[in-house]
Amino acid sequence: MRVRLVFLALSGLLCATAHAHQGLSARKALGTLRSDQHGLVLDLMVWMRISGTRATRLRAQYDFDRNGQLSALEGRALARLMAPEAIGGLTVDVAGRVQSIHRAEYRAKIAAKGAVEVAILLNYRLGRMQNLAVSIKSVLTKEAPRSPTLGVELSVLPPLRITNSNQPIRGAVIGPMRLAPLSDGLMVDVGYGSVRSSAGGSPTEPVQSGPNTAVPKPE
Amino acid sequence: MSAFTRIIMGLSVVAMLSAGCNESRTSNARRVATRTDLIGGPSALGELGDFVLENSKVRIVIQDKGFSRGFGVYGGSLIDADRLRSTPGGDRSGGTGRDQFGELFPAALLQALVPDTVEILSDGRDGGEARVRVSGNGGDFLSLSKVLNRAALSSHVINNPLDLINAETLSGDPLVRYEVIYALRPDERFVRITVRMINESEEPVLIPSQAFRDLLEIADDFLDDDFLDLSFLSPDAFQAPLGMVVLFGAGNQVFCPGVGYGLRASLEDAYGANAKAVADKTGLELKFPALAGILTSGLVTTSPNGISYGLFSDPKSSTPNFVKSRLNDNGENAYEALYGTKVGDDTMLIPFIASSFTGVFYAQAPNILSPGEAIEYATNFIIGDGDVASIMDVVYDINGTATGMLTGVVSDAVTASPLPQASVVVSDSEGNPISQFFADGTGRLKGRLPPGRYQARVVRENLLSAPVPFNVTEGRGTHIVLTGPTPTRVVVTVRDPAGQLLPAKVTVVGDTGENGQATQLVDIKHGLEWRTTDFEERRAKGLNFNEYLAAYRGQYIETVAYTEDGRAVLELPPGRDWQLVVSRGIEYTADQVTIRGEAGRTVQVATTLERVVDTSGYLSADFHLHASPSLDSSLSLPDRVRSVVGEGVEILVATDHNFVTDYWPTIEQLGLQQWATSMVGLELTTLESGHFNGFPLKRNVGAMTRGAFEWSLKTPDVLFKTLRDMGSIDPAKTIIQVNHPRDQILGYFDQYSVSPITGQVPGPLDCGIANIAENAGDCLLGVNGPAFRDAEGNSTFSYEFDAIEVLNGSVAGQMMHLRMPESIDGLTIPEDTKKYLPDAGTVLCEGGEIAFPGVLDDWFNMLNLGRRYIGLGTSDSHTADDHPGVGRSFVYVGDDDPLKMTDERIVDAVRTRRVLMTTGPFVEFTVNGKPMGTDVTATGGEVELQVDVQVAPWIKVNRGVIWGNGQMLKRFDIQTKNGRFTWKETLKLARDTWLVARVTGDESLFPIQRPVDVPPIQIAEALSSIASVFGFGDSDLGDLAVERTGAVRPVAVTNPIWVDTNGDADGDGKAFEAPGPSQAVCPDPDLAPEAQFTLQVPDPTTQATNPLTKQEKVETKWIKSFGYPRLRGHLYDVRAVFDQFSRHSH
Repeated sequence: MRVRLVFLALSGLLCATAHAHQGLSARKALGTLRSDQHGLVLDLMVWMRISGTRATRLRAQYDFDRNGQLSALEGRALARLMAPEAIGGLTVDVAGRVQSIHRAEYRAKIAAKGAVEVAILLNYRLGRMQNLAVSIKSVLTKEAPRSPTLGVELSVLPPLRITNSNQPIRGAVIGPMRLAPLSDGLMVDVGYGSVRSSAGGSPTEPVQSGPNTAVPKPE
Repeated sequence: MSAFTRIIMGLSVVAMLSAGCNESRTSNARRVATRTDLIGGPSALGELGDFVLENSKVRIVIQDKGFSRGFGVYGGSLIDADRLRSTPGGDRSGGTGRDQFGELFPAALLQALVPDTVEILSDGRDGGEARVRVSGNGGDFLSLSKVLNRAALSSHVINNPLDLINAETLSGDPLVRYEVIYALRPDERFVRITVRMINESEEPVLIPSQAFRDLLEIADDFLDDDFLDLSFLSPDAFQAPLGMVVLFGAGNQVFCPGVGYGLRASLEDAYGANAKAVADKTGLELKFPALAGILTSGLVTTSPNGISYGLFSDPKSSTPNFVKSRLNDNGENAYEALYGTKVGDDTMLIPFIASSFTGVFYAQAPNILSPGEAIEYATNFIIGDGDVASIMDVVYDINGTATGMLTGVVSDAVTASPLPQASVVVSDSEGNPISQFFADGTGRLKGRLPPGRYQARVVRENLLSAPVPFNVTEGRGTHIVLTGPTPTRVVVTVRDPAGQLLPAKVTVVGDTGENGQATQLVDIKHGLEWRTTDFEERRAKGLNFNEYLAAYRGQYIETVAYTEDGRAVLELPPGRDWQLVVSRGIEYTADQVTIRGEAGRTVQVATTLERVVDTSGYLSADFHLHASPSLDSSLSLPDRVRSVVGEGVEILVATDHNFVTDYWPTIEQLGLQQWATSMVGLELTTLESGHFNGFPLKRNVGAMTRGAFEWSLKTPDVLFKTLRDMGSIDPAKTIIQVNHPRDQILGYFDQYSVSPITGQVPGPLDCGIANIAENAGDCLLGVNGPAFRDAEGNSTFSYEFDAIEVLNGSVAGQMMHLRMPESIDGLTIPEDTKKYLPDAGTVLCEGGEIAFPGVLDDWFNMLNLGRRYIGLGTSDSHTADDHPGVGRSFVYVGDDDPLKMTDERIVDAVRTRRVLMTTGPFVEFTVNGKPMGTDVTATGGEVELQVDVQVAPWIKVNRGVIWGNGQMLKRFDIQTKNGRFTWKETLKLARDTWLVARVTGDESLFPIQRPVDVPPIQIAEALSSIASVFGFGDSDLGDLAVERTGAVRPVAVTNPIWVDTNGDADGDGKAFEAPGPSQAVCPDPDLAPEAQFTLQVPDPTTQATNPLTKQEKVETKWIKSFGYPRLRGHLYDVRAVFDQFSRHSH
């Protein structure tokens, strides 16, 4: 309990610090929930923008070849440095259990007015289930002091279908919403909907075909 | 002259003669210091710094260490070989010898040798044999076989058994060293090649490896029972096969004593017999490491060019014979039990012949090698005079086989004149070809045979005489008199209506007879060329090669001739009706004449062709052509040029495998400048990273490969840059074209796992133990190494190319992703599959992936990503009559005169993308009057589309399709009148859209365009016999699976027109906003079994890419998020957003 109190106090302090620096950094998260051969998969891209003197310093540190741009290698190094801050506090729960990141990819670039933008693609494998309750939350950590809230949006790709959410749903997209620390976060239930085929889609007339290759479907 | 002087002179002559004799009785090994030491010839690869072995009879070249100059991977291989001839071989340009040999290197399972030392052990001055030794550690011939090689052969330290589940982590030090000793004795016509496998460590080496044995135990604990059954790799059951990989080259016909020619068919029979044993559960099926294949005592090539090669195992080798050691559960030899063929100490197994590679196994590795212990096996490589008999004479000497002498004379059956160069095939009493002779310039033949009863048949111009029986007695001579069949001679002239002689093609069509009374179509065993059929029967009946051949009834192509000057002469079998079809490509009419052939008679035929398709402003181009500088083509440059120009192609781009060729001197030599121009190019041919054309290029006449470069271990970015820098105009103008990107192993997209749904490349591969079951295919048998992934595991795939070979004439089967056909009647499909099959027209999935990807859909995916690759149509032709000019590209250059073209003008025109890909129809496509390749502004989205179609009378088209952003927008029927048709329609586009038009017909273009009725074997198929042991490669789709065979049918595809409907909505400075990747998905078979074969696409009403869907007001608001424009509320795949992220750099 004591630890938690200390942690909360520290978090509050960090929040205050973040407010003091508001405008210097911003965070967003954009996710896609899909299914593939690994089962249900969540790809979550965390984006952070850094401007001002901090961006100047980062550019000076990581633009190794001084060409005014960040190469893939330079960008990766910078994004790795900023990752704890960018990701900090963001958690994914499935049925109440925190999911670990399966894989992460890092990129950064120099944006307009010398700002630095960092993007980190987080990949979560959520398991092989027919139905799933996912929530994306923000918890307080010391690594995310400058922008404790972040905008979140989630897209659900077929054949998955959204069955419920605590946020408004537009088509198969939920959000965007502001994710505040210690809030319920973005919650969504998904499942496999009725099978919808691409019939009527793209017939084909092969260049060189035997009788068993595709035959055009009449309109 | 005094008596003394006479004596002195006489002694001098004797001394000189003896010196000469001594000289001729030595062999010699030396390093190539000058090109006069080389051989030269159609397949010569030797270069300064290589090693030569030579005696009075033969000369061979062994490549120095490094990477292969041929099709293989590493240096140290035997690359050139020829008889020592009276005319000089080498010269400054490389030589004028007759080398037709590709490459030969040892193989332990699928492991090759990475040479670190090539040295002369003995230069032969002592009168003994000259020897060159190549030594080094094991390296993977194919990176995808790395795990298998390391596990099975123990060639390297494996630190942790779990490393074996991830090819990338296998980086232990070598344990085993290989040596190859090439030895040539004086006056011998063969090189003895001894391969040694040495344990260079201080510990015993277990084969298979201890790590692998440990992994098997771990697997027992951790993996599902049905994951991988690897019990066949237990030490008791497994011995690694050892042998050679040989690339003979297309100029050589391969013959096996006892089997004859046509190994392709025999191999299919061998696979079929094993498959039948499995299906019938006879218990006779071969169990790994026994592989299905051809059994033979040796491999021989023949060639009318006076050079032949033989490869025979040395039965005196110390290691046991691999084939002889394979026993089945009953204790019988497994091969004898299955094939009924006697197996001996010298029996060789040929498990694969693919993409010019032939694998031969005959020795086997032990299960343990003590420290310092070595095992060895030997092979004799024989150089002959062009026929089998000259090779077999040497074999008989080596083996001490008793023989008798055969002599004979071959003459014409009607005129009785001798038949020089006639091929005579000798078979045993059961009809199995065992030798072959070429008659000399006077029609005489001579050679030896073991005692026995034989029969001889003469092969002349694809005709086969009746068999003549004879006996051979040991130590005695036998003389036979043979008559060759007499053909009918046909002289064809081709003119246009004004009387001008035209370059053209004559196709001779035969018919087996309505009642099926005619003789079998072709006798492949005796070396007759395959006659291409009209391909109407085979697939439907599901017959294998030989069954199809025996049962075939219908039309076939007897032969094809091209003429550059309007006059063609053909020789045809007599006594039959022949239909002559004269054509000149797809812009001209075709003429047809039927003749009756009579032996010895000449028939004159005059024909007229008319140009009926108006292609003003366009020139037709073939951007992918091969000839004899390619190892897999034996076509001379004049025949190459003659054939392509005869098809009416006006821009010829030479793209030989790893060789820079220039057709222009040949075009001038043939006087064809008014008809065609050319560009210098190259097909950069890697083994596993893909094939890439580059043009126009500089040609380095001083280099043996004229400028081709080393590709091993290089990433695509480096390859593309190097190729671009070779450009003859400017690197920025060099066109890099990705060829047949979906070929297995040879295709760029397939090898780098480009998603056939989105066009994107996957992230790092997870080969951790937790995910090995799911990623086993990629981790265990996937490509690996620095050419494919960087230090952090990211793909090295590069998008820095310019064009995609969307239409490739030699890749039959399909152009688009495989879709569900209208009917599955007559197809064998597993019942479990049938109940889940989707509606006709739906893209088929299997195992969570697109079942069979096609390049047109890949190109659409790239266009959706905003990558404006040029779509090109090419033939990839390797022979004169396979399919030059099918497909081709019409490029708008604003002129019709090839003589006015420069490389720069052509390249600039290609880059405008006003390019049509076609096998027949000529199509012009406009949007609001603007042609292909242009950007059109249509604020509000209303556009008028127009498609103009023209076809020659022999081409029938009936359907058109308009594609937009990868989706079919419109279909229309086509009914041509006088070969012309126009379609117009106004469309309302809801968003920025790229548009492509496609026109097709259902009728086969046989016989003018040749079907592919014999599927080529790719390396992947060859490996499938091994991979299938691991449970990979089986398809649940049964006969729905694509075969690379089929008739050529009319198809034309335009390049896109990009329509901007809303200006620069996202503020990126570009008006056109690409729609982004498709959001379709192939379902997980476990989670959604009922949908596992169905590509799931989002509801069209919510799909962001749908050009015709009206959007709600709220949805039309573009937002810039993460530097990537998208529609708020619309579905997206965040991986695509991430992929775009750094491309919008400030």
